[in-house]
Amino acid sequence: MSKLFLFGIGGTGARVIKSLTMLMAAGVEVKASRIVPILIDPDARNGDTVRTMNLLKLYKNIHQELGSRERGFFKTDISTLQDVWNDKDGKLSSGFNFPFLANNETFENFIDFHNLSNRSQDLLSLLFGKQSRESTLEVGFKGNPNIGSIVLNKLTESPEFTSFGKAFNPGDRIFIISSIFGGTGASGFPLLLKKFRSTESTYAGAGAINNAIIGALTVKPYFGLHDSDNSAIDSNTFITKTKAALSYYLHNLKGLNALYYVADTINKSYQNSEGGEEQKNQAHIVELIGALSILDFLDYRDSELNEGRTLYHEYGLKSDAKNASQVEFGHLSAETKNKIGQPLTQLKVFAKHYTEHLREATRHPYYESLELNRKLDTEPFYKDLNTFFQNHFYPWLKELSENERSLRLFNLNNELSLLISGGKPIREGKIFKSAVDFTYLDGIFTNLRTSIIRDKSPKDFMELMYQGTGKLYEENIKPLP
Amino acid sequence: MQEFFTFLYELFIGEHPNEAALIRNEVFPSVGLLTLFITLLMVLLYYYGMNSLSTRARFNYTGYWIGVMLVNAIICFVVALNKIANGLEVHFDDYEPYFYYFAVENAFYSIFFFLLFSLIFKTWSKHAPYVPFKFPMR
Repeated sequence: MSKLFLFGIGGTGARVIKSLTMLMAAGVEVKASRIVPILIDPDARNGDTVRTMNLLKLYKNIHQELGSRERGFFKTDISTLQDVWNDKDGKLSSGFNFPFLANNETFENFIDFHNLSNRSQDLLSLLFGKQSRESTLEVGFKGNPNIGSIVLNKLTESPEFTSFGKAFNPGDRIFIISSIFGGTGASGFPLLLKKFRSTESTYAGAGAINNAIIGALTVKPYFGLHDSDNSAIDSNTFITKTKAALSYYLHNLKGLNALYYVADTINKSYQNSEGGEEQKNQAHIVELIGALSILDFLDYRDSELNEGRTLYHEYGLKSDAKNASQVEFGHLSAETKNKIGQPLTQLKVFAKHYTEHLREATRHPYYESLELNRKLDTEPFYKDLNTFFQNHFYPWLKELSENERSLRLFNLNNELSLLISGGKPIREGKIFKSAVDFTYLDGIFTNLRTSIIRDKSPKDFMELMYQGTGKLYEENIKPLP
Repeated sequence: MQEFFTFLYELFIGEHPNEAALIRNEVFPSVGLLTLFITLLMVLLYYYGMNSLSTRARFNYTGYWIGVMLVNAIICFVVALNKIANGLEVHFDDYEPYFYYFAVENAFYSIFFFLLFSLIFKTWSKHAPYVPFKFPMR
């Protein structure tokens, strides 16, 4: 299997990658040897982007302790560009983002407006109002793709882009995530694609990239923004901008192997923030479905995607979900449930046991065998795992369930036996059935310990948790509603 | 056997003023063996019944272990009281303080035997090899 270079443009790109990371943490099947996420956002302080970058770093730390495996939580490698390309010059940033703008740079400075000829200045004044020209780019393009389409050209001059070209091998794939109704994503996606498919490019790796299989996800409007006099972004223009961009795509988007569209009825308006730390939109089911498009893209064989045409995809919930404000497992197609149902349920069970019970399980043989009494508070791996659950996974599930439309796969605050939202209570026993609780799960872990625990490492711990929760799923939970 | 149990029981409460021979010959050995047998059964019940038969690991806490141990002590108390009274053919209304001392002593020995059997059998219990403590396991 080869690498997937995953470009996430703007806030939506970051949030889709966050959902993908959650799925990968759950151990969902990813048909790539490693994922290389590259977040492109001029707004380096964007709350959504920062949260995703922190999550990616955490995932990477946890995965490094475990290594790549056939199956299991955190099984697939997530790497930075620095990891896949030996950066001898030390010019690459060590994170997952693509820094390409100087701090506080205005659009005027960026295009060197005052040194242009008078005629050029007049032309640019026609295209960009004074307010747009003088705005700083540090919070992005504030919903203006016309600015983005100029500024993002600078991307390709960065050392990160050069390294990407050098690290790209024949057989690797590219996937671009963007929204069509904002500024950064709407402008960045066509520009990136054009650069990748240009036969005139001379950067290292241009040949391989030119022939690469490229997929993309275009997220159409799925949320609104409150009207605000202090923000240049007006969500009333989202639909108009989408139509204009779609029209542009129809005639100018060439060379894509697969294009995924996803959207939802606009049910909720977020706080209107132009960018920066304040832009922390709640996770939404559309972003999770967007993440599924990446998995779907990887499921296709090269021959299926190389037929000289673009494969277009859309996603639909079951018909009875059309007016449902709360989506549960029962509203998802069998294909989706097969792909994410078991892994996400296992991760949720693991998270619940880890955060609510593990510290009290001191008398259980598996706890003693893994020497958790000593390691839980001292080893960075277990601290990282706790941070992942408390600061990322739980808030993500909570946001998904509180958003509109809500995705509520699990009952978040109930006892273990009532975990599945809209599902039957989880019970055990052949004749006299009783509700499953942590003691039952502890028993499963103990039963499995002798066949799994070898060197008491985090790898043993995670394998035990994966197999134990898998056994619970197989014997007591499935089928999902 | 008889000498062993006589030594054990008379260690703290001494000999019975009138019926020492009868008690030494008939009561001490039978109560001692019965106490050992009941305690063994209770230990096996705790480690291999409550803590091995089911997947559910609900009882592998020291609190439950102490609970079973106390139940065992009460049973052994009653057995000892009953056996000595029957052996000397004494009605409940005429029980002597010696009978109660003997029953209490037997209950204490049952606790000692319970601990001893636990140390021997806990190692192979599925859920409770570390109850009431880790020793002798690593």
